[in-house]
Amino acid sequence: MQALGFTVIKAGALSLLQDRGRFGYQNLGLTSGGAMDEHAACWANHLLKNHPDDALLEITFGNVELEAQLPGLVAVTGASCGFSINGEDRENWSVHEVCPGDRLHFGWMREGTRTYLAVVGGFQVAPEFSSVSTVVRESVGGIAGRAVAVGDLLMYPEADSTDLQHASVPFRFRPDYNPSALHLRVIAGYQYAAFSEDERDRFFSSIYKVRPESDRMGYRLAGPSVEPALKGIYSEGIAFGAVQIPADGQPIILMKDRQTIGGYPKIGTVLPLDLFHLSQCRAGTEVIFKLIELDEAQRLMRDFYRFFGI
Amino acid sequence: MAEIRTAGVDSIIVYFGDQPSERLIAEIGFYSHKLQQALGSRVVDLVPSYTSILIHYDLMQLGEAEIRQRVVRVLETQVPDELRCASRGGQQVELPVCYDLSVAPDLQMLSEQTGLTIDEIVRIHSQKTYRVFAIGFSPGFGYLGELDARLRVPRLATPRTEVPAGSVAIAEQSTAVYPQSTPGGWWLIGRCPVPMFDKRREPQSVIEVGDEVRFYPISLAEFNRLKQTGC
Repeated sequence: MQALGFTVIKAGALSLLQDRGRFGYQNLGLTSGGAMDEHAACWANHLLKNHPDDALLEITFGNVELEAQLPGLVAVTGASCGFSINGEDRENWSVHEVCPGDRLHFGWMREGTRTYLAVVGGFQVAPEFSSVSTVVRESVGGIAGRAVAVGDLLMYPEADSTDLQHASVPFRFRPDYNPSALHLRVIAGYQYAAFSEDERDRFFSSIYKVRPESDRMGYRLAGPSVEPALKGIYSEGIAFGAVQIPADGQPIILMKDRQTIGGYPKIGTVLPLDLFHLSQCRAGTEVIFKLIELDEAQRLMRDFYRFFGI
Repeated sequence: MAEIRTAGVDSIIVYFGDQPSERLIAEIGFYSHKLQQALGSRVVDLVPSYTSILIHYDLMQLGEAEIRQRVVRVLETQVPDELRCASRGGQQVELPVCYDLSVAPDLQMLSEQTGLTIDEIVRIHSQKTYRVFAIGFSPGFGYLGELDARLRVPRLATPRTEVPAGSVAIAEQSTAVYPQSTPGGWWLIGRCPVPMFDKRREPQSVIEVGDEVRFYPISLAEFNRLKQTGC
């Protein structure tokens, strides 16, 4: 049987096959990876009644064109980038039917940074270390461990269900990716107690800005410097969203492709729901940290996972 | 007694001591296996390193109070005097290293810097038994310690953009084998023909945190032979 799917005509700046991440290999130095904005990614699979871990395409900064070889249903969520099929504008956060020969086009980003494209049944890619998540730095996952390139074939199964055609995400669940200030809820942890009260006050009462050097490994912030009582610590495991304070006092939030261990003191860890939102914010976005109780944070995450059947 | 702290919404970190030591890292290796066994699917990821173990647990199965209780119970298990009896915890690994100048670009400079002859450097580096204190930086990259004080040098001022896979390197208190060709700022003093990390093999990594590692010198001819046979 001939393998069929989307042919990649334009690949964009960074288009990666992702699922929810690679778990159980951090002791060997492999990072988790996974869709940066799980909120948008989970909605894309959910609209199609896919499994929440089915592989989808994470398109960073748009500028992608695909040609369909098979009938199928796709869901597009996340950053809006003027998505069209055969030149006809289509709605974001919705399901669309595709036919052989259709051209799917993602233009430049208008709002947000990452768009998710899911197909019924998920993209068919052989997992590596139990996941298809692409980590370019490690040459692991996706297609030969790299970003999607022109000429690649993104395989998907032929879809027969049509009852999903008009599914879309209710407006109240579509986040604002240009918030005037994004609140990041922090769980106190790690070396929290090693920061003096003054330093903690400064951290939780200042406005920080997302710096342009932010990427899938970490979001670098600029603002009032925070000084830890400790210069460095012995390298230790880094949780998703840990806020590292290096020597210059400028916080770095560690994201999906973070290094597995690190030696900078950490003041706490951002709630994943807020990290998903942060993943869509551009350089210059203002963020404000505030504390959240662990019980409340766990309740919010459980609600999220339960909703998507994780 | 170990100290347990919150690390995130679904993670805790267990600190076993303030200072890394060979004894402590052997204990951490031992408890990593015990925790993995006892917690099973409740654990998503477990990251041992220098003085701690990070435990990422499955929030849909349990909360922090319960994971702490379960971890404390495991930590009550006594560390056996003979740590090596644990299945893969504290295993002994022997790795061949070719110290020929043709595959050791920084050996000459190290000799000048330390005032030791190349033979002395090789003897000092290969006579010690190291422990794996952490794995990170890249898949299968182990931080082995502690390096003999006579060989300690700071990282290179300008890191190389590409270090060949298998390079045996030193920096500060550590020595390592680069599993992949990556950028790197350590001094390259030899080459190991054994693939340190192979995704098609089980286990993928030759070493784990807590393991003991010894290097033994081989000739360039032997290195080329082993490299060809793929060991």
